[in-house]
Amino acid sequence: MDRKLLNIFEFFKTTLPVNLAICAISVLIGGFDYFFIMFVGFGFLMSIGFKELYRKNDYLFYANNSIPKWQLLLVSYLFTCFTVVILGLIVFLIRKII
Amino acid sequence: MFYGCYSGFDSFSNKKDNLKKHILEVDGIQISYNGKLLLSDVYLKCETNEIIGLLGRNGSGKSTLLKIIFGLVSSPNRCIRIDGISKNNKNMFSEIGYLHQNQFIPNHFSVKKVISLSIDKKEMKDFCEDKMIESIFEKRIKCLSSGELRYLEIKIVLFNSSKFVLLDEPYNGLAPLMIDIVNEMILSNSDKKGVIITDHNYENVLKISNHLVLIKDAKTHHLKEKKELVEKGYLLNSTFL
Repeated sequence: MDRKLLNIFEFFKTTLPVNLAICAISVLIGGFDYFFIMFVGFGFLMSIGFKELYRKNDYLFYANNSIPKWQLLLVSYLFTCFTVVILGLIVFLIRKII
Repeated sequence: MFYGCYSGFDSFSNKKDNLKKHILEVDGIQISYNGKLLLSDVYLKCETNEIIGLLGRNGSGKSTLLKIIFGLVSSPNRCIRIDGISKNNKNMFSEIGYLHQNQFIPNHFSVKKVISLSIDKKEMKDFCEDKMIESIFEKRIKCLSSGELRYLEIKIVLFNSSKFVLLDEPYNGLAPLMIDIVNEMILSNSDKKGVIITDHNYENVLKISNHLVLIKDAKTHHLKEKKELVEKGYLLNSTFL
């Protein structure tokens, strides 16, 4: 895979812990259907907010690998949307089978 | 070239002439903090093959200048050209590498991962043929000592594909022996890149740089002789020059 894409994928992976934690809380409060909305919305925003507050220097690593911040955020968000589509499809198929 | 510690400079000159030269020019930078003018009359020119030593007292604006060049801090009238082409509204991350004075490699990575994400496959063998890198290759970043981490960061910035490298306090946390190795690495990479280096360890900056710039009173002063460091009040006496 392209080195640039691998870098962005690594960044995307680092957004998951905070995003999934937010999603887990919302699932506990509101039910499973909230997972998808939170994952592409508030959860992703919170994971970026966490980075802005506590991991700002991480962006320099990607900048030195020729990836500007806007590209990281945009492509990570696309990865997030793609993940939701795949997860949604899996859940849909499981519900169909059951 | 008057800072004569780079003894191999002349012997490499023919080989270097065959490589494509790039020119970075920085002009018109103006920035104030809390109403105080930090930088106002700045002109810097760095070519491939050149190591510019940027010196100045604490708070004189050295790190800020490097951040402005890299695009981390904005300055209203900055004019940055690479090979004569203005780069004011573009990101220059593919053309300039930047070593921040603090850690910039995320802690959760392993050294192996960092290298695979940052170094081209064709440069990989060259990069890893190094005792220090071999010894830390399987470790995680958070398990490295500050010296090992600094060494890795410097090497990564020097080996990426950029045309210019900005080194902000590269000697932080390095033992004297490691400083010599890093100096060798900077010198050997300067045949492909232009380097701007700033550090309070001025003796080592003087050792490797072939052009000196002092920031004083918000202006850049291009020095012709080392003794000007004393005349302009950066050093108290010339004992260590």
